[in-house]
Amino acid sequence: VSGAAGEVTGAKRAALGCLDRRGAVKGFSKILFPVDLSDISIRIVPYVHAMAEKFDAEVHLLFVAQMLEEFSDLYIPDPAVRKFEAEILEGAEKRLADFGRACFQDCRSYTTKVTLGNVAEEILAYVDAQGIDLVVLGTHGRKGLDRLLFGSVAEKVVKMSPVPVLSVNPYRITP
Amino acid sequence: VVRSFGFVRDKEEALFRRIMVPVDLSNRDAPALGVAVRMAQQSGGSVTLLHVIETLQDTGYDEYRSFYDRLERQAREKMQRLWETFIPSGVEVMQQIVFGRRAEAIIHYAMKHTMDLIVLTSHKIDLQRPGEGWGTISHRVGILSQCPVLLVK
Repeated sequence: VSGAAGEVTGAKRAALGCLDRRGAVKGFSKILFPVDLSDISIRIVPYVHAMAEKFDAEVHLLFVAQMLEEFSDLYIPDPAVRKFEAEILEGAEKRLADFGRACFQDCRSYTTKVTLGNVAEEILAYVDAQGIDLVVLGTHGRKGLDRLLFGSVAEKVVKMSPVPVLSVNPYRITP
Repeated sequence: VVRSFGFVRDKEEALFRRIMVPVDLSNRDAPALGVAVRMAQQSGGSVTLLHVIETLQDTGYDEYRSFYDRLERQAREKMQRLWETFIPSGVEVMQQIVFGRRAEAIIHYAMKHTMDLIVLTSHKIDLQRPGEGWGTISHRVGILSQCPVLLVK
């Protein structure tokens, strides 16, 4: 145990501040839920709902399409890449819109966004650009290895996010 | 559309009733405590304050019993003062002190007592010193915990 006896004063102030609603504890008004549109995302939805309701927050759904890196060793003509990207984005936007309607229609407010690039970097950039103050993240993604190891995307976001992160293990909860 | 995603609306209120806040009894606990109390108030839940007294590796408890006893007494005094600040909230708050390695003890306690949520104060990693500090423990808990973890920055 380190520190002097008076060190709990700060905690006391903050706790009381929260209880008195004097603004000592900042709530969450914009929640980012990065989704991969798999069954894993579905399992996290109740937690996003719970946080949105508790803090009367708006929900931002973000899907990051990541495919060019996977084909980096192959030669693909540029027009074909552009066409491929456009089709992927179009499909993702439709799918994400369906996801939003299915899962967040009764939320106070939700928005959807599809981007292309490195997933973790896009999530962090979105946090910064949109003034997000909470990220809700599944700790396991689509890949099989993620069932054993913490997903690299989630790990990077947990460590690098400048705002609070709620990490949820989708395999422990009951959907 | 709902059927295609297999989503069934659950009772979210019940998700965060048993909330645990690992505390090191310093000012760093404040952000996590504030959020935990607010969430417990809204869900009618309880908050468990958990302090882990780090034990020396490869040594038995008895070998340093008087040392650990002194640490525990000091921790209990601080924990009691912290606990008293929650009285006006009406939130049920419990105090626990355990011995062990911090991250492992936090994860083990949460599993054993079926916590719904762990709230921890964390910070953005300093890329120049990635392995240092409480942040490493909070990130390990965030990674390895079976129950949801809210890292408050």
